[in-house]
Amino acid sequence: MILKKQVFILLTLFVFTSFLKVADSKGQQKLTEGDMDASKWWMGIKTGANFTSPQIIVPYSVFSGENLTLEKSYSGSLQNKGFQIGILAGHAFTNFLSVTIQPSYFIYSYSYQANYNWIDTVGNKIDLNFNYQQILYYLDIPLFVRFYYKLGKFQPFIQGGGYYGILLNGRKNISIEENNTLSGAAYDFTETKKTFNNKNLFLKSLLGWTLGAGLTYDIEWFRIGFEVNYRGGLNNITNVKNRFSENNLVSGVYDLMDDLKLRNTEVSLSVAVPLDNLVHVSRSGGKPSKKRKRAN
Amino acid sequence: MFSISYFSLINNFCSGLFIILIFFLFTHCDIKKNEIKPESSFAKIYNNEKIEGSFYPIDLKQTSDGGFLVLAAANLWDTYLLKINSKGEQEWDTTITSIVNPIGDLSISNNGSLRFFGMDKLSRQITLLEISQDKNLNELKRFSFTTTALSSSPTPNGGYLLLSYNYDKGKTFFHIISPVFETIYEQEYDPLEDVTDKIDAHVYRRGISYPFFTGTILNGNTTVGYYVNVFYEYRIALQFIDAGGLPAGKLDGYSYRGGLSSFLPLANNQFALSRFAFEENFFTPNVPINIEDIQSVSKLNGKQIYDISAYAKVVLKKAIIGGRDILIYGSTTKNNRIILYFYTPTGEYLGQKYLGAVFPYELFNFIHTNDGGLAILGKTFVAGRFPRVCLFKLSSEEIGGILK
Repeated sequence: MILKKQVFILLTLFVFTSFLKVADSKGQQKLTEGDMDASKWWMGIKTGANFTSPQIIVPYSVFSGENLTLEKSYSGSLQNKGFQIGILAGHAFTNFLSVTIQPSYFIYSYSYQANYNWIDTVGNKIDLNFNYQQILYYLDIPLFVRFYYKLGKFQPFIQGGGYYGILLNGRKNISIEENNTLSGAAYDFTETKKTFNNKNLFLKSLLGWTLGAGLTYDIEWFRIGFEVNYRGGLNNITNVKNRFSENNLVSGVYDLMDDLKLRNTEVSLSVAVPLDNLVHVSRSGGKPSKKRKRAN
Repeated sequence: MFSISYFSLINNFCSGLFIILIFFLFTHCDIKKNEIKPESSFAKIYNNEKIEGSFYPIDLKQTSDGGFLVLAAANLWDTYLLKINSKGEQEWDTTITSIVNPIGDLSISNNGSLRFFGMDKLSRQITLLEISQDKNLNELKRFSFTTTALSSSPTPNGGYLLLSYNYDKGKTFFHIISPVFETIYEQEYDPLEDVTDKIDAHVYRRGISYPFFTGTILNGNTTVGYYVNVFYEYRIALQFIDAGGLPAGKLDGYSYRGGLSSFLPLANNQFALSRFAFEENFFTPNVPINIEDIQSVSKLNGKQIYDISAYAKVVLKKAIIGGRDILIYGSTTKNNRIILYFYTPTGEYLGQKYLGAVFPYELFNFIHTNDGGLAILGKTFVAGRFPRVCLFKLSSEEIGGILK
């Protein structure tokens, strides 16, 4: 929670001080009304949802033995919903090519299940179902190269790039279901829920590539965007040196982190404004100009 | 009216971002270092699907392939052997119902096989067995005496010390067995009262497990005596025997509720030990003892250890970790976790390490491994119910991080 606040404050201060510094630099280049298409620099905000599907490199289990199912069953990406919000800044080299950087606060989530059962000679049995949910909080810094195709106010694009993520915090939710016919009842059910901080089980760094496509649409001086990106992690996010370090997890709920890479589909909406010819604010309270001039 | 310099804005933005990125890249470049040998550290529970199955570990040894062989009792009484590879995964296991009441210490023969004592189920005779790493069991010697084995330990010359209880005579017997499996020494210890119930509770694991143990006292490579922790004259007592086989001094316990729980010769009449007194436990990492003297264990000073449960097994060993001589006490806490305490040979406390959580975990033994780490053998109740063998492996780096 503290880290989340720190990141929020960091980003806010950074953007705010950037604006303040620039705003105070009077006498510098005065902006004029211009065309959206002619804008070279863009800045905006971006938010959306993401869906994680981990790629297992090496599975691990606390248990060992014959005739045991030891591998975990991972949930599909649609059940692994996350969230992201960030800012974006871009530079258009031409009308068809731009570079954007999008520092964002990402919440990734993925879950998996492990089932263990024991049976006696007359068929009584105990089933234990462990449901584990990992929630990871990252500050991601992606860099995209974006190729546009102009269709009037619509601009479909494809983009590719890479990202570097910094782990800010982590949490693990565990629920345990027990089906027990040993106690005499035909069916017995109990559920226990636990939450652990799991930041130490993950590396601080996250590297990956990303590939996506989207569409922007110009409304007045705003450029509204929708994009879908596939993000492929390049490194094992599990901190292998700490895999066995959490007694409560390893010995208590039989959870051992697999070696895995994060694979993720991100869906985002963005709003950006051109910095070089549309933002034009009057100190006396004048309204920004809504006139738009087409580029030659 | 003011205007925004977009160049300045972008410049500020990018330079700030660049600084943050560089800062985190330098402080978080942990990807390349994210490697560890899988055999250096692990935690494993050896499970099966049988509700009725129960396993009580006794001892382990590291095998020539870097793996481990675990000796355990299955269903309280039968012999159970478990082969584990160097990464902690089970390779094979076998239950031998014809040999019951297996006891440690496991010892390694010249051909890499492992030896242990058990009792032939039909004849009730103590038997020395050998099992190879590929599961071949071989009976080396069936001894003539029909006693119930309590403890054994290998001697430096390849022989064995064996402690066993004779139900018919109501006495405990100490035997020294030569490297060619001949009995070369016998000493009996009479408790002078009926201790059958206590021996039963110990052997069948249905009550207090008493700290019966034997060992050799060396001066360099020369054997200067032996020690036996045994029921003797209404109490549990550590008996010393000199190299010539003559009874020497002893450390008397208080009835069966106070005595030594572990004992380790260091050098020059210096010893490390632990003792129990009713439900309390004390560690004495370094104390001079003259093996000719007769004294009470309660006279030995020691630090009271509040964590350890009443009558818990205490395992005491020496190890060289990170180039340092270390004394390690292992035991089980009152809240059912395994605990390791680390001391210098002079008795300075260095640190401690807990293993296991939530469900009960109990220590049975540990060994110093070839890679400088520790392998800790325990029992856990899986899901809080089913007794199973568990093995923790700690790397020397992990232990080094614990030590002051």
